[in-house]
Amino acid sequence: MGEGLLAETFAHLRGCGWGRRECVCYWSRAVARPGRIDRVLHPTHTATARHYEVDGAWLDETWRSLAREDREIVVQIHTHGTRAFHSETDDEFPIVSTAGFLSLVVPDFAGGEVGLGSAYLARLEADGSWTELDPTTTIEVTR
Amino acid sequence: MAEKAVVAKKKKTDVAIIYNGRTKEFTRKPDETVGTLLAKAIERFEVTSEPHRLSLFDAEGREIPDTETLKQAKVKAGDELVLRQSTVKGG
Repeated sequence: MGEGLLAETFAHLRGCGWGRRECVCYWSRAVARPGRIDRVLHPTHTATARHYEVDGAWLDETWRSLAREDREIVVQIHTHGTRAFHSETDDEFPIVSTAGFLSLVVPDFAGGEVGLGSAYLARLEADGSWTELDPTTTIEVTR
Repeated sequence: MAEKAVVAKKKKTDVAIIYNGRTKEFTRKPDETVGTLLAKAIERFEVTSEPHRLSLFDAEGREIPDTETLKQAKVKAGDELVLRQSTVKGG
């Protein structure tokens, strides 16, 4: 993915959460180009300092829009107010529930440096469990 | 000739289900329950995590009750349903 997309994602997370609330975004790619993430989606959602929930109508429209454009969501990104980890809620209520889906958690409401170094990354496995990965080696950010 | 083939394919379409941008077609059986169709969709889309949290939603965004038959739920041939988690959240 390009560093511009990463910066755009942090801008959404910061601008929406204002350092006080969680925020969530999604990265998508064209099905025909599985190696390249090239779009960020910022859903309609509610949020508090410890929680977010995505609007159902947004989900329905986004599923249909992705189908029309032959695209798919491959990573969900959300903030925590303090440290980054995968909570029980994160485990059980992701937007996509198929093996290989990635979930990135950004600490400090994304108030730190733009990058993946302090983030927590988990991959959904075929048995439903989540495995922690190194975000800096799993997701390549290009200039 | 190619156009005719496309038209024929559309006529055979029963119910289309979308999950994360991918669309698959399923045979519509009016007396089948929505739960049975849901189970087939979960299997074909290879959803392995928390499958019990997924539901089918119609064009109006209504979550279709699993216990209704397709006929009772007014799911018609050519309809396009969405397969997704009833709730997407984190924290």
